[in-house]
Amino acid sequence: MKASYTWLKDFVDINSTPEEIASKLTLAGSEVETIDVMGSDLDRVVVGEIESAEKHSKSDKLSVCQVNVRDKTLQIVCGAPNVKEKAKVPVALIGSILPDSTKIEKANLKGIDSFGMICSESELGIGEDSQGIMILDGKFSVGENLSKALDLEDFVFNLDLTPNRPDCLSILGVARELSALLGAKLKKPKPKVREGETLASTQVKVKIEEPSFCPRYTCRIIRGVRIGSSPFWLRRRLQACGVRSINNIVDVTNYVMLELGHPLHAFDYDLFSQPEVVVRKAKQKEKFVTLDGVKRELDSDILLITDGKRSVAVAGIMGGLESEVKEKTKNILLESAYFNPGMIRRGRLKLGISSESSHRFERGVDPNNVDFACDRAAELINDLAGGEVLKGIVDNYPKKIRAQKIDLRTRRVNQILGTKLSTSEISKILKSLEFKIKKDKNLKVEVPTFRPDVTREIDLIEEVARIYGYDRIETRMQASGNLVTPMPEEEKLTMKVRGILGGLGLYEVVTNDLVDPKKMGQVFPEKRLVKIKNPLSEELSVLRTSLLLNLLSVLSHNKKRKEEQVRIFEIGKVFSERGKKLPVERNKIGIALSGNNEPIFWNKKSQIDFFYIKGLLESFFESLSVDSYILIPNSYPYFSKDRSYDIKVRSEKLGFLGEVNEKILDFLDIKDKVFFTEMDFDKLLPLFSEDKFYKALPKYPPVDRDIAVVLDDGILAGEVEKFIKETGGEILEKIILFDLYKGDQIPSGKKSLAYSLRYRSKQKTLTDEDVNKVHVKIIEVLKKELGADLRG
Amino acid sequence: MGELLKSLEGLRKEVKEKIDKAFSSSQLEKIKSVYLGRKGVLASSFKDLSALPEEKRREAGRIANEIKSELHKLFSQKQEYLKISDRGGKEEIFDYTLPGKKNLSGRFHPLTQLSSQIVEIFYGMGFEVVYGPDVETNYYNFDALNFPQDHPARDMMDTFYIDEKRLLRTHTSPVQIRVFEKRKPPARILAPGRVYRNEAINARSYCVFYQVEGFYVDRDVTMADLKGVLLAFFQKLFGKDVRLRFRASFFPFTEPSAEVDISCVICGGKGCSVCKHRGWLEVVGAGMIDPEVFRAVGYDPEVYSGYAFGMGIDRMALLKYRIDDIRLFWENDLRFLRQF
Ligand SMILES: [Zn+2]
Repeated sequence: MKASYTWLKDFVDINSTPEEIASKLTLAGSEVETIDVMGSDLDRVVVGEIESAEKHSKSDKLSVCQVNVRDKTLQIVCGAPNVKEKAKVPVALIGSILPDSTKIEKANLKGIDSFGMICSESELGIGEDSQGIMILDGKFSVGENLSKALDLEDFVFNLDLTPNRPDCLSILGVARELSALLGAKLKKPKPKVREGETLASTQVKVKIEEPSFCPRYTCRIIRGVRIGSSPFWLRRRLQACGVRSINNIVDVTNYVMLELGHPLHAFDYDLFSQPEVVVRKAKQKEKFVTLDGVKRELDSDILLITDGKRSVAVAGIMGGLESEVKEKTKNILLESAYFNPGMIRRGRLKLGISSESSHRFERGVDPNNVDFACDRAAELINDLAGGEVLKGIVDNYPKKIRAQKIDLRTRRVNQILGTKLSTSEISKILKSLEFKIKKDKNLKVEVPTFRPDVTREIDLIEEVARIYGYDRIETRMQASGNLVTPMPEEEKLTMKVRGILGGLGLYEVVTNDLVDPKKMGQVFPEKRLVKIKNPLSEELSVLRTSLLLNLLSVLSHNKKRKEEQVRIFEIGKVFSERGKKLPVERNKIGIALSGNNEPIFWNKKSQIDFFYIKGLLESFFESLSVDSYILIPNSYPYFSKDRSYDIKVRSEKLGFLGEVNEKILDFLDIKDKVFFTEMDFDKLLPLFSEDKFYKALPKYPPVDRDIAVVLDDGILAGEVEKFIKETGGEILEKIILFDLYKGDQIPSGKKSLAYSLRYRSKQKTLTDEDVNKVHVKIIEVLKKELGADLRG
Repeated sequence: MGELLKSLEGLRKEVKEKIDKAFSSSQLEKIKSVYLGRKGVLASSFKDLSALPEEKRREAGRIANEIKSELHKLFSQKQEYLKISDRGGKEEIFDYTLPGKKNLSGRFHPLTQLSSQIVEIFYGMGFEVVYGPDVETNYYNFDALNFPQDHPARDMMDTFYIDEKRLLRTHTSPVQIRVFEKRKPPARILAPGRVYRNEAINARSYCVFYQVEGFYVDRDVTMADLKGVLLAFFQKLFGKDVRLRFRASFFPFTEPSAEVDISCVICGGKGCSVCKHRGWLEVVGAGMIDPEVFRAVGYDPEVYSGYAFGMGIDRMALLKYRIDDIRLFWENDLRFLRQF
């Protein structure tokens, strides 16, 4: 909504600057986004009088004019067809810059010097007329600054209004806010309609078939109007508010809509097939051509204005092409009605059109302002287009919508706002907004019908707060109370996991849950996709079922930007559909690694491999005090067949880990090896505990023994360790593999594993004998179970 | 003479600094020849002395000589020290200027960094953290929050729908309802999480973002308390000088409703390009919880009142880190992440 400063001044006395006004409106809820300054750019344009105009000797189209601008007479060559002697015109002097940034300089047109320019409205940026120069009718003194002479200087407030305030979609409504905020009186227009003798009610009958959709319909008939262009002042105001000028009749309906907030419609009454207005629901699949020339299909949620035979408008949304006011129109039916807001909203959503009119009806106009707006428009049409306004307004209003009365407790106001307002202060504020106060002790407030948003006591409290000023409400700082507000375990674990992974040198990333179903299908096939019905694009139309695609995409993005080492993680949700219920949402930890495994160091460079990500996982679990985890081979379509595992902790599957296979890497255009793991955050939660209990430190010294065995290459180290552990029993404290050897020194098909074992007892210092007993046993078991030979 | 002394003093400082920074013998030799050599800078300064009158010349000469011997001393000290270092104390060269062996260092995403900072501040003020699902029902996202049917308020948030009943939450406010259904007041809750808006992606908006919703319900909670808690929060986040401005606004689930602006964190309120020369930045939507919301969950609005506020973390992060394109957060370019 745009509101002109000078127009507002018609309705309320303002002594404040536009900036002050903007700030007051903004604080009270009508946010002024910007202020446009109008007319200030025309400081070197003055009123001139054409003393003589002669044809240019070398051109039929050009005239050579002598123009008096008071202190001198300028010779100006002008190409406009409507140049005439004695006409007063706007003259842009040399040095002026027009709104389209044309700079006026001394010129020579076909051999004749020209010292300035006579301008059209469009050249001055004050109208759309570009046919000829602007002729200034009326009393203008030669030499006067044009902005001053035409009262062009204005400020336009661009208001960003909230949907609950239809009343502010008008100059009068904004003026009302200002009158309350400034404590100035509101001066409402008082239309005086000069009526003819003929009764309008004899010329038209109004029938409302759907009073719940159209509670009130009024109209007036104006006969014998002259269609023409509107006077400058009116066009100027429409322009200021961003509305195009069409002709004097349509302009008046728009003008009154802007002024009073009530949309009106003017029909060419001669195009009615009979003297009747019938308001009815559209039939299913009924067709209608709207003003914009589009043939639309309607349904029973849409209301039509008809003449009983043919439809003439979609009620409250858009007029029809046929009944539009045109140049030859003589007789007019002026409609002013009140339509049900919900019905208008459903209708315009179905039709997919939105107009200034539907915008206001949808938010709720004042049903008791209908006749007033009709009169105001009739008055203006009569002023501008002549004709005869028939006597009386035809008003069909079967059931009057009455003002609501609400009880307001002073105590309640202060209880919600934390203020100490008195009853009389409250009542004064509400009166300033044209609310009527019935009883002054416990207030009974009558809400004007232009405020459909106020229906409850709490709404009145907001009105009081708005006008009183939010800035005057105390800012109460209090020490926190003694509520028990535990930090949830999820939050704690999230912080912990982020800390650990960050400490291990990973970058945290944050990616979109909305992904491309095609890519998701390629990378992480999953049937139970949650699909968005109205996505932004096909590429963002499903919720992810794994973090794999997202992390690979980030990886690919960075690899393409020459990042050698990409080590990233995300903690985020994945979704899977389960029918009509809400989808399952699981929190996951995803990790993707690729490139160098360490910061580049001058004497060494190595790539991330399987053992690197496995080690990272081991460190991760160690930091979380999760003691035992195992990898179990499993086949996942996104991993290489021989590098694809489940992660299990305490026999629960926590996630999976592996090397992303080449098909997927090719698909995402990634050249390097990528290792990926995804773990279920929610399953990790029960494993994580802040309850930790101290275990006594060992009192006795350890004994270290090494053992090196040669065995078949096919035997897994894990098996060897398992036997060592089982046999070692209580006194075996730690096993470290310190060498793995395959090569010339041992038979082919064999490998050598060298372990360092640490023995320690809780009860005593171990003797050689104690240790030997166990150590020898371990060797025997390895020989027997795995066919191991002792080496060296 | 004053000027000459000043330039000598300047020279002394300059040379001293160069000596300090030198890390190899050859570097040091070069510096020495430029400044202390026969045709060096110091030598030419001595020449200027001769232009002075007799008694002043003597005084200036004394000072100049002092500086000269001080610098010579510094040179030889440093020479000695570098000699040892160059040789690593032994015969073999030890090039300590080779790059060090770094440990890996990770980074936290700026959005989660700010989010946890915000959570921490509110936790410190007695708020409990509660989560809710990202996929919500129409009921929790709109109906229970007093968004009227067939009302333009429904257009305030462009929504991604899954079907008639289910949608991606457009705000974390549904957590209010989920909490109210389960508990009785008092409740002081903070609900952080991702929210979704069906808006074109550009530098200022992305279809997913982080939001934090906070609310407090108890007896006698007033708008003055709302103003207090937000002021405390922003002063903790942006410093003591930050000012707040409450403007009347409209949200279906609060009444009275407010938009809260903070004084521009970049210009301090004087006006700059970030605040579009207004001096204020719009960061929070807030208000007193609407009685309809209480009724929907069976709280008696005559007994309880409460406030609620919500803020977009992405937007705040733009301001805090002075980032001009919101998409950077979701692109995860390592060169971007490395800056936080
Ligand atoms: Zn600023």
